[in-house]
Amino acid sequence: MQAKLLNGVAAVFAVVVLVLLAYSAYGAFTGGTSAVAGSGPLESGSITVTIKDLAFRDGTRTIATGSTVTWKNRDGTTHTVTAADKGFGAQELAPGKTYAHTFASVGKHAYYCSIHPFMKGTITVAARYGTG
Amino acid sequence: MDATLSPDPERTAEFALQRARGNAAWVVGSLIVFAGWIALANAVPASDTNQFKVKAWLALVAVIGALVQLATISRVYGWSKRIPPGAVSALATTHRWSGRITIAIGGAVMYMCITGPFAAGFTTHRLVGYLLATVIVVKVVILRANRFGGLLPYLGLLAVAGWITCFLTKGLSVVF
Repeated sequence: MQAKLLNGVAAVFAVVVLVLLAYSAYGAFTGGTSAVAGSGPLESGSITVTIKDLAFRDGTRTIATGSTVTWKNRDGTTHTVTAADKGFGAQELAPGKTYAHTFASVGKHAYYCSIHPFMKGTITVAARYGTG
Repeated sequence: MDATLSPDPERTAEFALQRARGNAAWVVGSLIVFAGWIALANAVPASDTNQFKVKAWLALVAVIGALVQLATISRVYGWSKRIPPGAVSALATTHRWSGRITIAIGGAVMYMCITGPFAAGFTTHRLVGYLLATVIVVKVVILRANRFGGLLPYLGLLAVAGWITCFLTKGLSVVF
């Protein structure tokens, strides 16, 4: 009885591992869904962050190295894009104006609006060819 | 007068329970190792420039482990006579433990690959990696189930080829 129970648990565990592998493989090859417990597909090329209603819409992104992020101010007031590590930024981005920055190296870059410090975002840069 | 040998039911049940406990130990051990993978992936995330080097060196260790696996089982199966015979049990023990270490270390690399941000699509490295992971799971299941043992050499050779291919398609340029 105990042997059957233990073997049953082990069998279920093995099936769960195989199902998770299949699910992860599906996501990795098709991009249709995020990898298991992962951060999802990598954006590349030209990425736009819209500034509206005192917020960076979709301001937290994961992008490939060499990608360009363009911040577009569609709000009714001036904002800034200020990197926490001072690595990039635009002072006084007036309504309608845009600011673009190309991220050439891997890293995590937090930024905010210095006029409205509660407006925050993060750009995470990973290798262009992803991790697998 | 014929003497019919029949298995001792008590010893058979004892052996079955021992195997089942071993299977449960594998589950518990796997969960502990999995926790280690999560901790390592959090310590060296994809946004850290060191992650490539960490993965590449761990992958190299996994490749060495896979080659140790091949060397030890070669002697046990009699494929190679160059490797000193030694005691079969010592070779078998080395084979088992080198396999466990290879899975633990190589699996950490796989975990970081699978859970990191990825550019979706087909790559040789990705396909071989997923096939390798499946082969490893199936091989362990066969070992623990004590059935279809004839498949083990083929799965083992596939696993060695998989580790080497994965390393050559990604890790080689980082390590050397």
